[in-house]
Amino acid sequence: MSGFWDVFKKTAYFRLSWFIQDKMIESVDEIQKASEQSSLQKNKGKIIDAVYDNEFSKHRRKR
Amino acid sequence: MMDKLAEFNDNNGFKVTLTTDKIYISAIGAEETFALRSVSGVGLYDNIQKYNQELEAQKTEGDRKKLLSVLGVGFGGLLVAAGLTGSGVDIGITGAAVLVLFSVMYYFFAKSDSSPPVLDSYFTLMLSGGDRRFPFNKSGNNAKQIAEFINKVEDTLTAYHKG
Repeated sequence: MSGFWDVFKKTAYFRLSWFIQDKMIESVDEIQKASEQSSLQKNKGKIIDAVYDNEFSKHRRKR
Repeated sequence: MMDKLAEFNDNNGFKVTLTTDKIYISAIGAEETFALRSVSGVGLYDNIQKYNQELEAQKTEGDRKKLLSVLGVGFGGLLVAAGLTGSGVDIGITGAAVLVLFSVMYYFFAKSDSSPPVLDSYFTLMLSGGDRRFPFNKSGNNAKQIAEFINKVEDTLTAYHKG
């Protein structure tokens, strides 16, 4: 019976560590996404200028 | 001889020509010709993510240079003050003043040196055999020609029944 609980414990530790690792990776991804969004928001004006205020956009056909 | 409708080149050997029937693309060492009937659409794409990263990098670099200049001016100013008040610290007022001057010069030089990043844009020709993507600069010398080229290619896109 102790063999069963040993395996159970190892599996539980493994799953728990896997879960924690997943959460940590998710958090880093979330932080990166949030920082990118905030940076895009901050540079919005410059980006809009670069995309639309140029010779190319002036000569594109308006729909 | 087919009528030439539009054309652009990047002055580096890359040239795209649109005629009533075909699109000719020539670059150094490569030439391609597409039948207009194989073009099913055109697309435009701006790499905003990369542009934003470059803006951020430029800002960080600017802030670093500004901080260096402020530190130089501050430190030099303190040394000048120390020299003038006759305290123990004295490396020579001239030396300290030169440090201040260099810091100010560095600030203005760094400011004028930083050119804004360029937005990478691409236009895509959607062909029956696969898409072809071409990079270009929307603010470049040939931007007007490219816009007119795309307008003309759009004119050739028709609904099937109009043939």
